[in-house]
This record gives sequence, C-alpha cells and structure tokens, in this order.
Amino acid sequence: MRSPPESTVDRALASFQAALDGDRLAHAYLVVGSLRDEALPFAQGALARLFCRGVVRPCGDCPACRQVAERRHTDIVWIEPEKKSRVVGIDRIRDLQHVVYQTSFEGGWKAVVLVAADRVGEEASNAFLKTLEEPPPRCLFLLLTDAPQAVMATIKSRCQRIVLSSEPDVLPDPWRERLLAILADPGPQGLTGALLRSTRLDKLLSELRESVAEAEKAAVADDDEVSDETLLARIEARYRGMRSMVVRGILLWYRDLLMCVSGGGADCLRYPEREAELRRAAEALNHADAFRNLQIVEGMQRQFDRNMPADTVIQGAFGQLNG
Amino acid sequence: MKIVIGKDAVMTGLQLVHGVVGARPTLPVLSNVLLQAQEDRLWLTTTDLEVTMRCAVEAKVAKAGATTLPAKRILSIMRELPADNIEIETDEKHSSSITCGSSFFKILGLSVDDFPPVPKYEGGHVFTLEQRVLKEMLQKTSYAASADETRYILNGTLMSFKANKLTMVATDGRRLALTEHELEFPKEAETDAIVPTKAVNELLRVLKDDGAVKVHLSKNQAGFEFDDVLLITKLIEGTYPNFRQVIPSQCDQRITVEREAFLIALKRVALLTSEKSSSIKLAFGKNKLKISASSPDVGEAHETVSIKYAGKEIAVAFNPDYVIEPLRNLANDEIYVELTDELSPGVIKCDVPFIYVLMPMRVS
Repeated sequence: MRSPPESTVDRALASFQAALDGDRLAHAYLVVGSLRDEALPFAQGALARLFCRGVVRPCGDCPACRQVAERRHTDIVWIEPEKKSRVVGIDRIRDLQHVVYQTSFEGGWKAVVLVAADRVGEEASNAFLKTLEEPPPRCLFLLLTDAPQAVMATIKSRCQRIVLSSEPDVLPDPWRERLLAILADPGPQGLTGALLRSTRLDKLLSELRESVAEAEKAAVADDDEVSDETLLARIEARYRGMRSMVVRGILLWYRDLLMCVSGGGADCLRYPEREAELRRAAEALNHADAFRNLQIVEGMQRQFDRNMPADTVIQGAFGQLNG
Repeated sequence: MKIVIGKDAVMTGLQLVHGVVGARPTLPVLSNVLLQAQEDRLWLTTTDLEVTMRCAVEAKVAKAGATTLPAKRILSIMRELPADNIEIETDEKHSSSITCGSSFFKILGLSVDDFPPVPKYEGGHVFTLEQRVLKEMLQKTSYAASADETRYILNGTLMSFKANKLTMVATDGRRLALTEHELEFPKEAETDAIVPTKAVNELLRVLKDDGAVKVHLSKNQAGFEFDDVLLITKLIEGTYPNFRQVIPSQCDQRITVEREAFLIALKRVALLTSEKSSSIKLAFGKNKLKISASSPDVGEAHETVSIKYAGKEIAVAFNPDYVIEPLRNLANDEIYVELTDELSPGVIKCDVPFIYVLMPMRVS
C-alpha cells in the first residue's frame, strides 16, 4: 500500500483539529481524494481526534483510538458499497438513521463514515439528504469520495469540502501508458479499427482487474479477519475506482483532440507528450465530431455506473467515436 | 471460566437476553452473549448497541471468568440438551466446551475485550415504581408509536416525569395514546425521555407483574433495573411534539360502550375492509351503534352493538386497527367514546387515567 501524501492529509487533519478545538466543526465533510491513500487515512485520523480520551489527541493508545483504528468503535457507523452492484442501498441508510437520531452509546460524539459517497443510489441519496438536513447535535458525517462529480449536488451543498488531492482520478502507470498507446494508435479505419481498439481496451480492463485482485489479496494475506466476501467486495470497489480513472483518461484524450481541433497549443493539452499523434488524429475531425466524442465517453461512465457489461459499453462507445 | 449450571437456569437467562441480538449486527461480537461467572452467579449480557440487556442466574462457579458465545446457537443447543446440569468450560482461546450427560459441544467464541462495555448511566435520576404499573402503561400506549423512520422522534414512547406524575405518550401523527400514573419525586428530578420502540418491546417481554422496577434516566441512557435484570437503552434525541395541544379539550357527545362487545364486533366487521377501502363507519344512534364496512371489490358487513346513548346521531369513519388496538390493550369493562362531528378527532377514555385521540377518515 502506498503511503499517503503526508503533507495534504496532515494539513487537513491539523485544520480539523483546530476546528474541533475551537468548537467550529461542520456537521458534514465531503472528503475528496484517493479513497485508500488519502480519504480513509484522513477519516481514521479525524475520528481518532474526535473520540480519543487521551490528553494529547490522538494518543493512539487509548481504547477509543484502538477501536477507531480497528473500525469497531460503538459510536461510529461505517457504510460501504455492498453486493456485486457496489451500491449503498436504502436499507443501509435507514439503519443509519437509527444510530443518528438516538443518543450515543458512550455519551459523546457519534460519527458516520460513508465510504465511496458517489456510490449511493438515488433513493438512498434522497433519504440520506433528509438526515443531512436535520442533523442532531454532536454527530459528524464524513463522506469520502474519489469521484465528487458523481455525488448528488444537494448532498454536496450540505457538506464542507476537504480536497486532499487535486488529481484524484489520475490513472497510474503502466496503465496510463498502455491506455494512451491504444488511443494513439491510428490502426485500421471503420468498424475493424473500432473492434480492434475495443478488444485491446477490454483486455486492458481485464488485466487491470487481475492486478487489483492480486494487490488486494496480498494486502490482506496476514489478516485472518477479512472474509472472502469482504475481500471480493474490496477488489470490486478498487477495480471500479481504477476503471473510472481509465474512462477519465479516455475523456482527457478526446478533450485534447477538441483542443487541437480548436487550435489550442501544447500548453492546453493534458497529454502534451502525445501532441503529434493528437494533431494527426484531429486533422480528420470537425468541432461537432470532437464535441460528440466527449459526450460518448461521458456516456460510458454512466453505463458503467448502471452495471452494464464492460465489453458492451466499450464496443458501443468505440463503434461511435471518431478519431 | 468453569461453571456447572442447571438447564432451567441457563434457559431462563438466555431467553431473557437473546431478543436483543439483532439480525444484522454491525460488529461480529454483537451476535454473541457475554457470559461472566463470579460468586455463584452467571451474568448474561447481550447488546445491539441500542439496547443492552443483562441478567444473572445461579450457577456453581468452579473457576471465575468470562467469554462470549454466539447467542442464538447457544440457545438452540441448551434447548435441546436433557434437563440436567450442564458444565461449561472455556479456555484462553475463547473456545468453550459444553458437556451435559453424554452430549459434548465445542463452541468457538470471541474475546471478551471485543464486547462493548455495559453503558454507565452517570448522573441523572432514579424513579421507583411497580413493574406491573410500568408494563400496563407501556401496553396502553406503545402500539401508537410511529414505525415511519422518517419521523424518528415518534419512533418511541415518551416518558415524562413531571408534576409528580409519570406521563407516557406514543403517537404516529394519526392517533395518540396517553396514560398517567401518580409518582412522588423531587422537583429537580423532572425530566423527559423518549424510549425507542425496541427497548419498549423488550420491556414488555421481560417485565413481571410483581416487584418494583428502578428507572434510571440520564441524558443519554435509560436503565430499567428489576429482580436480577438490567435493561439499558439509548434514547431518541430531540424534543417530543407538544402532545397536549392535539387532545380536544371538550367534545359534544359522550357515549358509553361495553369494551369487549365493541372490540369483537369491530374485529368481525373489519374483515371486510380492503386496501382500497380501509375504513369502518361507526353510526351512533339512540342506544345502538351500527358498525359497517364496505369494499366495492369485496362486499360489505355490518353489526349492531348496544350502547348507552341518547344524544344526536353521529356517523364517523375510522381506520379499524386504530380503534381495535386501544380496546385490546385496556382491561376496563366500559369505555367512553367522545365525538363532536364526523371530521373532528374522536377520543376514547375509560375510568383510569387514559386518553386516546384518533383522527377520523374522510369518506365519500
């Protein structure tokens, strides 16, 4: 597991501590950043500061600190996407309301951590919104996400935003390079070319899933308490996060194509190292095609969110894309 | 831990506490019952973090100690064992051996350290009343509490200790049940608490007809202590709506009805209600009450009950369940139905401090 970028998370935690000390805590925070490397470490740190019973908070040694670290504190509810669809359902939100509107078990704060807040279904989001609108005192909501654009706007507007990463969706290498190789390769034109590209992208996603599974299995190899079901859920969640980065990577490519069609220079490009290929591909495009490409790629993410099969989504999109 | 315990004793304890264990516990250890053996007693504790139930039963303690074991499974095992002494021995790895006659079970438990500590009610006030009184008050009111989770403040029963009275209220916004009991306590002990429905249901299950119950009320918790049982519950946060303002100060007509006959007739006629037509009509005339129900796609039913009434004729429609529930939970032979017209709230009273307000249904 990569170590978190200390400066960002630590700075955010210092601000959180200052707000806590000054009795200025907001009731809800939208924490934007990589879930594993930034948002979750921030949530653990913030909760340790909130619940610690030591003199210097967080002491890391008191029962509360240990319970926070082991996710078994009685006044903290952790909600994560469930089942194969990786969605937070309405039932989980209803269960949560019991905890929120009752007094705390230990007589102090209560906290709710919504991991992957972008994966809350529409019905559940509306139910959750009601809770956010009328929060009881001494109840903290932490909504963690690496895709803030997918969180319902009315929920976002009720949260104070903590941005831990300016680029939460950047695909790491070697996947980024492999994706660019697929996008930059002109290959044959027409249906044959589209089929070839979609097959290569489908293969990339399959390998990405295998890589994620291996990494997650290695991360819990020594932890007997993680059940097979939990492990599968983590793999699926992580893979979906990475897949969103792939879609964003494709979106940035077609954004660059639009820039080239519009006469933008290298300083406008997100992939300046691929300027030559981008300009070559842009020669065959007009503005309307370039705009339409962006809409098609945005549609891919929506289709993935609706749990459509990856090969169907990819083939459908590449069959329509120009350039 | 090593104990020898009679089957009856352990079954009594497990049956008292197992109802608290939830179907979907948020922590694995919440599926377990905490067993603590000390000084010839076995303490059993379960919690779902909302309600914590603890009780003690007699046991021969050869070696004091504690463990946690899966509650439902232990209950199933104990139920099937012969009526004999049962030996339970636990090792350091939280594995427990259960021996009874020739039966042997080895059950894997979880660490006692993982089990949430029993909440402490610091500060607050203590009120003492008879178990029978508390149980009857809960029976007379709790059914009216809302099950709609969006109206969280109504998902419980209000216990208001004020003016030397315990007032208990439950409402779902369409009907309201209130009962009172005289109780002496100092002025500074006056307080309100909204007890969640799960805790109320557990209390109704475990309270007995004899003996006293101590009610501990603090800011965050309510504790009910009686015999060797302790039930601690979280409270619902917030201020209960001003229920006094929905109780009509005066109604035009007061009708005396025999409760049992009214209840039986209601149950019969209510069989002809349907989802589309869920109301029953009560037509009060001179010394008779005509109860009728009509569903276009089912049929119709009507029944007449004798009453003591000489006032003007009034016809009003109610949800039958809302009339049946208070009648079922009262013990009085006669009840009084107070009405003004077909659109004003109806009131049910009896010769004990009990008021039930219900909204009529508008029917064409």
